[in-house]
Amino acid sequence: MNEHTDKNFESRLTLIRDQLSEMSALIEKQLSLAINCIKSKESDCSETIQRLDLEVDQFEKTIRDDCFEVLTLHQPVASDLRLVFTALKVSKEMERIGDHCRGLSNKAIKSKSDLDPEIIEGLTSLGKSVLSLVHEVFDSLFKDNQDKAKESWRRDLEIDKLYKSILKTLINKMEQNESIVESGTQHILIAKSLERIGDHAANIAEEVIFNISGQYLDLEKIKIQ
Amino acid sequence: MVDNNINFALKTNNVYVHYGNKMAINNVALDFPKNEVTSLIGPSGCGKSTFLRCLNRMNDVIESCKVEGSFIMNNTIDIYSNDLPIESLREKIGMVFQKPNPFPKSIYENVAYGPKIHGITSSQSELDDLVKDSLHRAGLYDEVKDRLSDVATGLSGGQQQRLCIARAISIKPEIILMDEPCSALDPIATAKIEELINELKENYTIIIVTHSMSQASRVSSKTAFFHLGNLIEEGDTTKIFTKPDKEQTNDYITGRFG
Repeated sequence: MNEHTDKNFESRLTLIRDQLSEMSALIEKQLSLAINCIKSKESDCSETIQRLDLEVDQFEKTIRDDCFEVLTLHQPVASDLRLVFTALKVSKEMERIGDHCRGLSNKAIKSKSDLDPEIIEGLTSLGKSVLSLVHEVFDSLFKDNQDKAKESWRRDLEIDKLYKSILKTLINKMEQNESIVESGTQHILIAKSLERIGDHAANIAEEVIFNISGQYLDLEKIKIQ
Repeated sequence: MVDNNINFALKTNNVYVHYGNKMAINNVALDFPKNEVTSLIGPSGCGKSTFLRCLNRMNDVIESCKVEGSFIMNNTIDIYSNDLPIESLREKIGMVFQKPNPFPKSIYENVAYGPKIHGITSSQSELDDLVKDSLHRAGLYDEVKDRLSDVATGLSGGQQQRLCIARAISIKPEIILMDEPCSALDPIATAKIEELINELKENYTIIIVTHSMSQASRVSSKTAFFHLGNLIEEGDTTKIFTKPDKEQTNDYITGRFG
């Protein structure tokens, strides 16, 4: 694609893309730390996540304001309009992922270490799958790769299955041993946060597909395929 | 625009226009749905105005201009047929120009002139009603009803342009061609003309050349993009302004060239 005749417009659009990129890097860092928290339960780790979340929230506000300004002053159309629209929606999804990371780490450091190591390993494994999905969907966003976005959307279905399996195991364990109900519940909430992050990643994948194709695909069809 | 279910006011095919040896339009085929607004967009010199002027044979008066191709109105009338007098064609296809060009006559006479020439009315009261109705339709009547005998050139630019539209519709055309009708107008006058276009499409087919992307997106349901005499892309306006098929179209409407 050629550059804009209006260099000011061009630089504003570039800035929005750059901000999304920086925000995505913070999200990946936050999520990676949050996953470590599940096992380590270190409060330092959680504090770093809280601090990063403030930065993420600020990025979301800045991108929102910049998009609003571009819409007002430049009335973008076609690929530019889709980019602005996508940036607005993706930044909101990212901000929600940041919130889940914060909540997840809070729960992790407050929960007792009285669960089977295999459950913690299962949760960590779920976290790693979610992190890999988030990385892949960001990659599809910045490389304008529609196939990768569709693949990411499909991968969220696997995350959902993994979450359900962990949920089932945790409930079984709690039924067998009432003393772990408190920490078991905390870890169900952790698993739920990870599953929700997967959903936000899938939402971002939908926006990536829209940004490239101009259409929201019937993703149920992808599900069947 | 090849949907057989659509009722077309005008169909064009294999259109070539040359000015001397220079090709201005290169094999264009474009159809215009009835009672819809179609915008022709493209950078200066792309051929959009030349193409528009072909549609009521405005180019006939340019000696070096040679027009080829098929121009069929309502599936039956060949616009370039020798059997069709130019006056009859202009009765069917009216035109509004970039710069308002009222005759140096009264407001009333500006609108009454066409119907008189074409013998559309048979009595003075019928002519009075037609003038009043045309001014109404052009959204100008309330502003000029008390001064119909005043000279038209005393009106503001926006009012003059609406008077020209009233003049164009007074002879009850089927198609109205507009060549950048708002480029000399301020935003309020532009908004009034755009509102008028939206109302007029109920009774007329409108084809408008515009340099304003936002105007094309606001007023038209179909958009055609021209570049260097070629029709690059045409289709629903929403599609053209959200996800055009051609990268060249995307580059132009987003301001990446032109």
